[in-house]
Amino acid sequence: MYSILPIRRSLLLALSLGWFFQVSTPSLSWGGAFTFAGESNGTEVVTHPTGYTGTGGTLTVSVCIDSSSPDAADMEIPVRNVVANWNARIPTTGNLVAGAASELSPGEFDFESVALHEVGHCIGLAHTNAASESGLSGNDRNYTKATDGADNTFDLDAGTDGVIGSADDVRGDDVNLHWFRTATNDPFTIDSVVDSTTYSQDLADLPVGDFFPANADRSVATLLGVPNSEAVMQQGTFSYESQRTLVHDDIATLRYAMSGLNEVAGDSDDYDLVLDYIGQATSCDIKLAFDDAETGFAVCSTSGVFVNAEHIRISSANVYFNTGFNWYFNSSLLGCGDGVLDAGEACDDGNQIDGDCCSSTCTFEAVGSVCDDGSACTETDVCDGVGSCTGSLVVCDNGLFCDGEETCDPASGCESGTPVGVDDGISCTDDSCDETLDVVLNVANDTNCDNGLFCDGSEVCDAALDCQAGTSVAVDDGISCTDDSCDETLDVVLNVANDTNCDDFNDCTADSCDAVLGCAHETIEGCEIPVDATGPTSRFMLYALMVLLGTIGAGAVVTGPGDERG
Amino acid sequence: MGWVWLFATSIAAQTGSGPSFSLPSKGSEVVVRLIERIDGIESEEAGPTTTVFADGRVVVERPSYMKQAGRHETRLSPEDLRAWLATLLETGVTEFDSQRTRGDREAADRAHRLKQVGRSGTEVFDRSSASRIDFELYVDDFRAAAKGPGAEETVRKKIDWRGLRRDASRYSELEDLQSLEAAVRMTRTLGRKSIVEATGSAK
Repeated sequence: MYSILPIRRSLLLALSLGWFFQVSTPSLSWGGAFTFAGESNGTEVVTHPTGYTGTGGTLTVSVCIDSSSPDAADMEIPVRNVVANWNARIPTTGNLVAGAASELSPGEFDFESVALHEVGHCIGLAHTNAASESGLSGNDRNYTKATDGADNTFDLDAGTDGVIGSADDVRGDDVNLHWFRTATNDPFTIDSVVDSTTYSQDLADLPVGDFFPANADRSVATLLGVPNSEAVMQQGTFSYESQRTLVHDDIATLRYAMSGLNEVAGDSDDYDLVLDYIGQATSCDIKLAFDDAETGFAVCSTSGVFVNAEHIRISSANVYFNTGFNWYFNSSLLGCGDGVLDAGEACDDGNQIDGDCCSSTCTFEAVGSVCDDGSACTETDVCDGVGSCTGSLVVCDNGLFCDGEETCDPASGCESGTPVGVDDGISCTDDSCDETLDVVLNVANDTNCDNGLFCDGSEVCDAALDCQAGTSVAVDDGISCTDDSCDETLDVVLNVANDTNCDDFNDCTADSCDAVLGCAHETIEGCEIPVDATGPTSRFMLYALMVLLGTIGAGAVVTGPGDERG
Repeated sequence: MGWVWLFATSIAAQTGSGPSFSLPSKGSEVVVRLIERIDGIESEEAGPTTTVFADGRVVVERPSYMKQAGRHETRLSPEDLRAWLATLLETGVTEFDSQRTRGDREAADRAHRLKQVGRSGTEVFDRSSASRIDFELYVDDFRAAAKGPGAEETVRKKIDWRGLRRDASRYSELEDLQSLEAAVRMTRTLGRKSIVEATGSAK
């Protein structure tokens, strides 16, 4: 492998060898994030395509193939594709296609990929990496674009991740030329607004923890999780590899220029760049040709003029290629049907099919023309005249409440809803859905709580608290001489008159129990109670005691002495 | 380098007003070598190399990514070699001095800026790639004849320049650059012709 020594080391080597070893000094005025940015012209220089004077609007730049160039016919499709890509400005990732997948054969260079890069130079973009013009060699060329600063030596330290060109590079006093997104310092993202409010060259605007702007080198891409991606404007082309689409960083840099002289997007000096391929010609703003006298491989040769102190407009631009290489010429035209809106196309929906509102020739189909928007949820689809197919929504509602709300899937159409939930979690309620009233009913039902027993009372259903125990049935009838009980077999309360409960211990009364009236003590005629044993005083005391003890009821007839007990 | 400069055989004499020079006696010695480092290509292979030997052999080695890849060898007759070298020397490339040329280039840049009225309107130039060439020349000094008999000097010239095409185009007033560009172009052309002769194809 050939190693190109940095210029100062080369000089030392030459002197030490005592040769007439003559070396060139790389001019640091070339290149940068924008062509011409550097120590000579200013690190902050922004370069604009041919024709921009500071007035906003559409900026049309003509592109042609030199009609006298070798391989002019083969260049046609790739150049048209290049123009389409720069016009569409669609950021992509995974834009490196290597090996057999690239369509190329080993040892071939993809003309379209190289032309995409060189035309980028011709509209004002420089290499995003240090590149060969830095005088650095090998992988050191992949450090982010910068000048070598006050010490006139590039300070190169890949940082802790060891990846050259990443955010943790330590660059000493090197002066950054790369415009980076202040929010992320990720060249594989792009802000919706690209201007001085969102992009910067000032290292003070880097996210906390970053040391230097990351460039969109393929190794950095892998580090950032987007493998096989690289900025088109990164210098370094491999054979047997194609790179035909732009990444975010390519587009961001161009859009920064498009924010105009005040570097603020959205005002009157903004321009919309449109490259216009005019075919083979002898003159145009960007002319492409094979000319071995002009380049050893490929080059964009430009001149420019200062519009003001920090803005340069390209005044001439020519791309040259060397015939000595195995060039592969893509024969697939991007254009109508490729999904990229090119000049001359009203629309491009990625196909060449009629009936989808963007015709096979990339014109809008008429308002009301029948189309199919591909959705099963719409019907009677028609074109709106500006490329969209719209239809009225299909009604999926079956009018029923209880089977839930029907939905629509664009692929399969109407789908049943989920029946409404009726279960309230209360076991004793009768749950149902009322289709008439469109409500869910949860009705308390005591029978759901019945435990089948009589004597413990009737259980009830509480709609909030679930089953509640009943109150035991009352058995006391208030009649002291009845025997009170609850019969679980017959489900009745029994109050059975029991005469023994009425014994007043008077032999001269006949004691009985009436279930309604209570005890009765009927005097037995002719019955006498012996005096000695049952003197009036003693019998009375006994009677009183019994009353006090509750053995007999008050009012009971206490018979006289000599009563017989039956 | 182990160069042994033997001038036992002077195969060329001054012809007309052209330069006088001698070639190394060993046919295997290199007279001219041009190595081109292609800018913008990522490859471990060296760029195309054209080497002219004292015995007239012209060897072109091209990397695998170029057309006519590989090693191609043809031979110039002594007369053709002499004529070609005479033309090459007439370009003045032996006088090339890189330090002086760099200084001239910077002076031209300064003068250009001074011509501009203010910054607005100042014209600037750029070429997106700047390939490097190594050009080596080993012949006797053609001026030897003018210096008298036996005053032969060996010219050993080794020039390393980046962006020659760009600089030759931009600084058309700098003779050194024009000389070097002309010599390099001649060598490239010789190499291409040699390939055509060796392969029978121009492509």
